[in-house]
Amino acid sequence: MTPASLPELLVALPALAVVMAALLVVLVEALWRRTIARLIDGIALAGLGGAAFLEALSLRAGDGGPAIYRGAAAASGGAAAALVRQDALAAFGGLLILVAAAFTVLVGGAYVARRGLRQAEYTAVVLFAAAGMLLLGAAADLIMIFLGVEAFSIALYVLCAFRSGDRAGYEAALKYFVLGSLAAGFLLYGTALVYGATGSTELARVGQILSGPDGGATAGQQTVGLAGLTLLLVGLGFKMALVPFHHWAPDVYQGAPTPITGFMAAATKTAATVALIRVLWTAFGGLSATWLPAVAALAVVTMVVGNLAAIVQADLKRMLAYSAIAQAGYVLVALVAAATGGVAAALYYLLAYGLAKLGAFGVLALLDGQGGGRAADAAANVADAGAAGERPAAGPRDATSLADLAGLGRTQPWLAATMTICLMSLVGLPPMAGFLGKWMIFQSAVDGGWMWLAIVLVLNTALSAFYYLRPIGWMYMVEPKGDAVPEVGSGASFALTVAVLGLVAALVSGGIVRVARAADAFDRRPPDAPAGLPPELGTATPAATATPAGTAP
Amino acid sequence: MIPLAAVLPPAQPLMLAALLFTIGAAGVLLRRNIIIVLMSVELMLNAVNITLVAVSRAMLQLDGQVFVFFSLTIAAAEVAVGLALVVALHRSLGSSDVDDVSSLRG
Repeated sequence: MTPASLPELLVALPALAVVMAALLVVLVEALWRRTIARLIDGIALAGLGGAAFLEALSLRAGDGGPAIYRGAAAASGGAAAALVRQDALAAFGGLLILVAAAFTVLVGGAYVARRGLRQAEYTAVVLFAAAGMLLLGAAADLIMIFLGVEAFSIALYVLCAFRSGDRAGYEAALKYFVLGSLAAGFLLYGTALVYGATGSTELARVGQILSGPDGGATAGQQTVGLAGLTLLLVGLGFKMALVPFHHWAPDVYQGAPTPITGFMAAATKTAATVALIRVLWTAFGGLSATWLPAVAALAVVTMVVGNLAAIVQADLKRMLAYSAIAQAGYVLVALVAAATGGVAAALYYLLAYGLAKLGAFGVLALLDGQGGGRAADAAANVADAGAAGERPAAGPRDATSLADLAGLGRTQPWLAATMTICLMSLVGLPPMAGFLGKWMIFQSAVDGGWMWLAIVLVLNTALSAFYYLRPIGWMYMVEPKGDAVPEVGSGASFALTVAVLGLVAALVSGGIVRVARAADAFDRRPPDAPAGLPPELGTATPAATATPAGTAP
Repeated sequence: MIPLAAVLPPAQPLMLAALLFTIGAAGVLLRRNIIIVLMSVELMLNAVNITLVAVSRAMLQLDGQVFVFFSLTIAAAEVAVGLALVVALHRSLGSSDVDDVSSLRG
């Protein structure tokens, strides 16, 4: 083993900066013995900002970004195996994760302080989760994917149960924990099978062996490899909340503290999607003819089940959870069409979706505590709320029902406008970033010969308009019930402003689309036989011109 | 690099691992006591460890055996958080049965 050289360590610097900020936050609280909210926010934002600066620098790296290599090169066929590679795809995903983390720190800080919980601990654990997600986004090796997934999952289990004494939170955390551990087991077993089939866990090397010119994989190797891919899909599918691995998501989204729900919806999905892109196209791109129909079917089921279930939800957080499941289906459509610009579409869509979800959950997080006098509305959602009566509630109740939004257009016009813009972007209405994202996915699917998939996508979008527009009606058409006007902290409203401006600016400037297109050029196998794609069209696609994985150092 | 197809590792450890993994997964899904569920998760991860070691030995590499250390570390961290959750839930609920943890639904 050669010790990692300094330039190699620079690759992990974004994640290290975030971890350093987390440690500093904990230290400050321990030394001062009291919570200084501004200092904690400042340190966290400095760490996240520094990391974002480093990520932005590597946006130009294309597919050949710097990497951390594992030692013992001889065993893996002469070439050193990359563990983490800071390419443009990692940078784009990383920036999204960092924005989501900054948002969660700002919005969550007020939420946590109102409940008398420790803000420093909250902030530190959010930062640890973000660091794990950054590593997952940059992972170039299956073992690194497993480590990244676990690093952020364990932090999220803690965050779900962060309100002490709160049964809904504990229950959400336990459900997330049990199913998440199950998923981790599948992920690790998949890794072991792929390792058994190819003798390597490095994604590019696996891709080379399973399909490359010098690979010459036997049928047996391909079978074991595909079995491994199935297990990896199950593991990552849990994290992305794809149907049929979605059963944890509604309960967890509903029971977790609202800022954390937004963080999970935006950042977890981004990190898991980037990892899935790499697994599917870097490691298994050569076998795409085999798995593409299965993944396409997964996308259809996820879209349809997510949207249908979202329609019947009375609880807003649950509704947004099912909508998040449906949105994962849209992203999966883009991954299927990765040969025709789908990755850029997926990245842009994740940006639009993430900002909208953060904004929507951010508004809900700021509204909490306003529903105290309306416990009856929540009785339908938390059936045994009365049973918890002997234990003092850990602070104000979360705003989760449609009735909590009643008349918001009059009492809080600014929050109502934010919520409206976010929901409209989630539907994909034309002036919003969500529209452009959906249009890019649609176009890539049509170009890739997945016409029927594109049609299912459009039908589902129409279906989703029904439940996304209902809260808007409640905000503007229904009389307000309470007279309490929520207090909105400056940091939180700043974060919401950023989200809304992002949603608008993302559409106005073509720059983000260009950046997403550039991030498309990651290290992947050209697909051998894209479904229904005439060969002359195939040569014009980005995938056909992408650098073959074999040229990686 | 010696792939699996060239030098098949002894089938027995792989079969044993697959069996243990299945038992573990079934335990997570079927058992009702949270502590037993946690033990089943550990069984799944350890089954994978057996696979990794068997494959790694058959290929005359050390990588797989190093991965086992990663997996053990993760499993320890996971179970620490898991047990803390079980304790918190038991204090607030007075039960460690999965079926009692069902207030969130819709």
